[in-house]
Parts: sequence; C-alpha cells; structure tokens
Amino acid sequence: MIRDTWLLLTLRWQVGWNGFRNHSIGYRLIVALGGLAIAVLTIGFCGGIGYGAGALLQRYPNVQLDSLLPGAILTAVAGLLLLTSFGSALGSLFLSSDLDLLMTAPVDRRAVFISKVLDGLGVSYAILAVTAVPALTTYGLALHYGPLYYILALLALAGTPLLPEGLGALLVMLVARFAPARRVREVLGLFGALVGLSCSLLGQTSRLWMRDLAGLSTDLQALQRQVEAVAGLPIPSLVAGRGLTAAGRGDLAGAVAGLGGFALLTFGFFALCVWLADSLYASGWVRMQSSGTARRSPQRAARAAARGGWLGRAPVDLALALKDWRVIPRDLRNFAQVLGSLVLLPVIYFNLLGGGGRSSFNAVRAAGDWTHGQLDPTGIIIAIGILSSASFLFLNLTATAISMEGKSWWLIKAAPISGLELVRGKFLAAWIPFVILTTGLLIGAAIWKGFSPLGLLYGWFGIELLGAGILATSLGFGLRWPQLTWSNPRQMRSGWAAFCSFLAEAFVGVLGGGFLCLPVLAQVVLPGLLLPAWIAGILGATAVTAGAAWAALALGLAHLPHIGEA
Amino acid sequence: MITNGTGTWHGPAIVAEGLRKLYGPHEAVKHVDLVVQPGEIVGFLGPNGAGKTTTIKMLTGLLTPTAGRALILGHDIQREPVAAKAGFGYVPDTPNLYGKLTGWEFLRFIGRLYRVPPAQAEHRAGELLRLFDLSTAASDLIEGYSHGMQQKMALAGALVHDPKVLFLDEPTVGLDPKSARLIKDLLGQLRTMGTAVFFSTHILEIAERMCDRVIIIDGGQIVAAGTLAELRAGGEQGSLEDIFLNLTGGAEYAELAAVLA
Repeated sequence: MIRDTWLLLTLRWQVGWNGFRNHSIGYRLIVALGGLAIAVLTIGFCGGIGYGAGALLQRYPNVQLDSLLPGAILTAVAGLLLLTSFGSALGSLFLSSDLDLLMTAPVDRRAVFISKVLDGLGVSYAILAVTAVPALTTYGLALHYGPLYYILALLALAGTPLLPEGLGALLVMLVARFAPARRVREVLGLFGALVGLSCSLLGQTSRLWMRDLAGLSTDLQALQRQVEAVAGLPIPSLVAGRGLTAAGRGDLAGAVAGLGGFALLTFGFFALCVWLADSLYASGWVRMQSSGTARRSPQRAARAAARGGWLGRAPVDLALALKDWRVIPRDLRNFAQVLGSLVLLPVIYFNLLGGGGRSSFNAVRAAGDWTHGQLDPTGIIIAIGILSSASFLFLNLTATAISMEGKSWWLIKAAPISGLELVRGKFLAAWIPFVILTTGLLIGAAIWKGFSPLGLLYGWFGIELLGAGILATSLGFGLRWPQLTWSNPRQMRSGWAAFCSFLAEAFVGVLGGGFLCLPVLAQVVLPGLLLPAWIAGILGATAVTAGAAWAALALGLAHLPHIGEA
Repeated sequence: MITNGTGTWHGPAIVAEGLRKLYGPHEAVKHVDLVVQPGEIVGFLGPNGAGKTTTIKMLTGLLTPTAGRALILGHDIQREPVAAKAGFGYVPDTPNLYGKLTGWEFLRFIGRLYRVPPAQAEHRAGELLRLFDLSTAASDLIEGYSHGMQQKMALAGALVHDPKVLFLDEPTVGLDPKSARLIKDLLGQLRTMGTAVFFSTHILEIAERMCDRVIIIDGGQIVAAGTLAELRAGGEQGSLEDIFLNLTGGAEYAELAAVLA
C-alpha cells in the first residue's frame, strides 16, 4: 500500500509541475511574484498580530491570557484548514477526473484514498507557513521565550494539519452520502463567499456593535475564569498551546505533557477519521456512480413543457439575457461569485442615508449655503454611493459575460447572431437589473432626503448614463480577455479584464461625474452660467461615457471571431 | 434548389477552397478542397489527429482558417457569418450544453438564436424530443442527462431550425444501438428532404452504408474522395475498411497485433 501511495503522490506532483511548466514564462513569473507578494503580506500581518499580542502581555502581565494565546492561534489556523481541507477533499475524492482510472487500476483502493488525503497536506502546510509560523514566532520573540518553545512549536505545527485533513475527509464522506457531490461543492462555494461577505459586513457595522460593547462592564476576574475554562478544553490545538506556554516559561514537564497529549489526540483522531472515512469511501463512490437525477412525473413534465415563457418568444438579444438570468441563480457558486456582493448593498445604502454619510454631508454643507438651488449637493454623495455600489455589483456580470459561457461557447459562436446582438444581450443581462435597482434606491433616497423632482431626475439620469458606460466598458474588456476554460467560477475573471475595467470605471466615474457636477457648481459659484453649465455637463458626461464604451467594445468586438480558438 | 437565407440557391451546399490551418509551426490542415451537394451525405474519415475536427470547425466558423475559405449555401463563413450560420446545424464531438438549463429551455433558446418563429419552434422542439425519446427528461436540467442523452439533445438543437446543411462530428459516439439506428434513419430522411450532411466517423460500417461519398483525410490533407465504386476504380480494392487502412497506413497493424498475441 505504501508503494502505491507513493506512486500516486509522485504522479500528482508530476501533473501539477507539468501544468505549471507548460505556461509561458510571463505567466509563471506573475504567479510566482503574486504568490510571493500575498505570502509576504500574510506573513507580515500574522507576524504583527503575534508580536502585538506578545508585547501587550509583556506590558500588562496581570492579564493572564498567555495560557490561551498560542492555543488560540493554532485553533484559528486549524479551523481555517478544516474549511480548505473539506473543499479540497470533496474535489479530490469525488470530483477529480482521474478517479475512474484509479479506481479500476490494480492499485490498493486505500492507497488512492490516502494519497488524495495526503496530497491536500501540501496546501495546509503552505497555509501554516504564512499564518501560524510567523504568528507563533513573533509571539515568542515578544515574550523572550527560549529555544525549547521554538522547537516544540515546530513539532506542534507539523502535527496541526493532520486533524483538519482527517476531519475534512470524514465530513465529505458523511455529506456525500446524503447529497450529490457537485451540489455540495456549489453550496460550499456559496458558503465561502458568504463567510467573506460576513467578515466585510462585520467591518462595515463595527461602529454599531462596538457602541453596544462599550456599555458592558468589564469584570476581569470573570473574564479570567472564562479564559481558563476555554484554555482547559481537551481540543488538541489548545492542549498543544498549553504545552507551548509551559515551554516558554521553562516548565519542561508541562511542555512534554502538553505536546505529548497533543500528539496522542491528533494522531489518534487522525487515524480514527481516516479509518472511518476510508470505510465509507468505497460505498460513497459506488453510490455516486449509480446515482441519477430524479425525474419529474409525466404530469409535471407536461406542465413544464406547456410553460413556454419569455425565453421562447423574446428577440435574440433579450433571449441571451433571459438565458443568463436562468443559468446564474441555478449554479450557487456562480451566483455567489457574481451577485454575492448584493448582501453588502443594504449596509452601504443605509450608511449613506443616515449613518456614515452624515459627516460627509455636513462637510459639504459647511462649505457654503448650497441648498438654495434646485439641485441638492448632498444628493451627489448619495448618487455616487448608489452608482459605485450598484456598478460594483453588476460589473461582475459584464466582466464575466463571455467567460460565463465556458465550454458551451461553441453554441453561441456557431449560431447566426452578430457581434452587436451578442453584446446587446450580454449588456441587457446586467443593465436591466442595474436600472431597476438604482431607480428603486434613488427614489427611496429622494423620499427620505426630500430631493426636488429636478434633482431626482438629474441624479437618475447621471446614474443610468455613467452606469451604462461603466458596464459597457467592462463588457468590452471581458470580450477582449475572456476565460472559457474555468472549472471554478472564481477563475472566470482574467487579470487584464479586471484591471482595465477598474481603470475604465475610475475614468468614466470621475470624468463623467465631474461633468455632471457642473450645474451644481454653477448654481452656487456662477449662477449666470447655469444654462451653459447644464448643457456642458450633460453633453460632456455623455461624450465621456460613449467614448469609453465605444473604445472598449470596439476592442472586444475585434477579438470576438478569435474567442475559443486557443 | 434551396433557400439560403437571402434567396434561392442553386449551387453546392458546402464548398471548401484551399483550407489551411497552422498551430504555430504545426500544419494541422493542408490545403483542403471539397464540395458537397444538397441532398448528399458525405462521410469524412481519417485516423486520430488527421485534421477532421479542425476542418469541420473551419467549415462551421468556429476556427478561423490560416488560408482558404469556406462557403455554406454560397455564403462565406468568415465574411458573411450570420447568413452562413443560419443555414446549418452542428453537433460537436463533445456536446457541452448549458447544464443549468432544462431540455425545453435549451431548445427554446436555440430556437430564438436561429430566429425560428415561436410557435414553429415549440412544435418542432416537441417533435424532436419525442423522436429522441427525451420528452420525459425535457423538464430536467441537462446536467443530469447521460452522455448519450446530451448527444441526442445536441442533435435536437441542431435540427430545431430545419437546417439545409448538417455538420456532425462523431455523432454516434456514446449512443445506444437504438439511438445510433435512429440517427442512421434520420440521415436517410434528411437526404430525401435535400439536406446536405457532412459527418465524421470512425465507424466505417456506417460510412459504407449511409454515405453517397466518402472523403479520407490523413496528415491534414485529403488522400481520397469519391463513392466506394470510384475508390475501387482508382485501384483500391476490398471493403471501405481495407481501402481506409491502405490509404492511411494502418494495414500493417495486423502484423503488430500478431506479435502481441
């Protein structure tokens, strides 16, 4: 079995290395430098946290958190590893394309399982190297710990990924017994995106809950008791943390007991998880091979057939948009990637109307008596907020409009539709919901803030004009640099398309928005030039928007015949 | 005489003139000339990597030729792509369809892409689903279909707009005997309706029985073309398999197989 496991592992490494080596030197350089930059940033961040925590404990020795902190660092990283190992185990154990070959080859089936589990360890150690290693090292440096701490920290780190890997594999086995693996992967993608957004949401709303926390009385003794209770839990990473703290204090017996307990728990649980998961793997694999999709009853099928809907009657461009609106929500990973940021919109909107935006409004008002005219300048900030958040949301649709077609691109390319029809369809798929959303948000803001009808109309015109320009330019760049060969929706956006879309958004937003601000400026500074300012504002913004959109779409359309030829 | 989207067309359904495709220094297709008449079934044969799929992709506009041109019902696929594409249906060797659409939604969407009037598309889609035994599954997402069902759905999609030219790349791969027979019957039916069919296959028995003519390609160039009788008259003897192996250099494999036995 060991020979088979080693053979399969070396095969995986060879495949990975060949995949990297076959790319151009430029690509390899970008990947290497990008990876290095992310690693350096993460190491700096985690190192800073470790050193900061250690320095605080050094300065306030009565806050006795040192029994918890190393364990807390290891537990946090182990939690992260559990999430990643679940996703990678799902992919490698059930969705990998080489499974048919391996499961029918005369190699030990357990070797297939073990090699897949161990293959994920490389990524786990890489994550540990840039997170827990710098955090624990700088923590030890800040507290002036001796060499014993560092030696035992290395041993603890070496064992940390084992339990998350084993647990991840076991969870995958259990989940795959009840749900199709592909659906689990979609749900996992949605979950991952929502976790990221929740973190962002917490940051956005931190002022609200920090105000509530400020009212709490701080009972240090009660806190100390809670810390000790948590630190005493028999979780392997916390046990290792206690051993590391003992090592730092020079308590050899405590250190050996802690690390010994950690090793026993980790290897014991890992072996148990692997044994359980392995015994479930074969039956799960067979079940997945024989599982089909539930068929609808003939009556339901007939009803579905009778519902022609708009897709069967719409003109070509609208049919393309309708197709996208059906496909995107049905793939949860795709949906989370494209429209996940919708979750953030209410927070930004209510911040604009009553929260964080208030200080900005006051600053604008303080500059002079701005509210004499028809156009309320405070509306500019609201309009900018609505435009930027809605375009940020729908840019995901336009920038990936062609990439989204993926391996089905041949259907579009072989169909008798012109480039302009395709562009119109893809544009409508993003622009129609953009108009509906921004109109609703603006009307809500106008009622809330009491804007004049002219101000509302002008704001609406500005948002729809600039929004259309931003979406069209990103669609053009998405056409020029599509990614059709993706397996994960996160791979749909190419670097060049994202970079150029960002520049275009800034150009159209700042320059076009600047033109649109001319009448507002004129009504305060030069009231005599109000009419020319209106004309220059509208014409200038239209010219900037149309020019940027035309340039980007022309670039994309010129590339259209070559898409999918690589 | 058939309509080609801009009027009545009396000429050949498919014309390739000097088609050539380079991938870097590798010449995948070398100066291919061919003509297919309306109502004619032409089998496109060749060993793996001979250039069959590349040629079909150039004929359908999925690949831009390095040199040469392809005409579908008189329309240049590169210069008048919309008019040319309106006249043909295409089924690739790997039918990657929209997995998140149901069968019905897929056919309705294809109907719109090819501008088939809604009532006509609905009627035609229903007929094709019944013909391919997909009526019950048509309300399910395509991602749940087997390979054979997806192959049949792709074929139904290619026929929704009643094309005058049909390109099929390995159409019988993954199909059960009943479905393979259905395709053979369907090809015969299309021939009587004046549809030109150009298909690649490795199953020489199908080519021998179904095709009016065969074109054999090897190493990117056409090495033989004509009816079976014409190929035999040209000096090649035996079945289509014997002719194919003689032309593409596979005849000696029998000796190699004997060594392995």
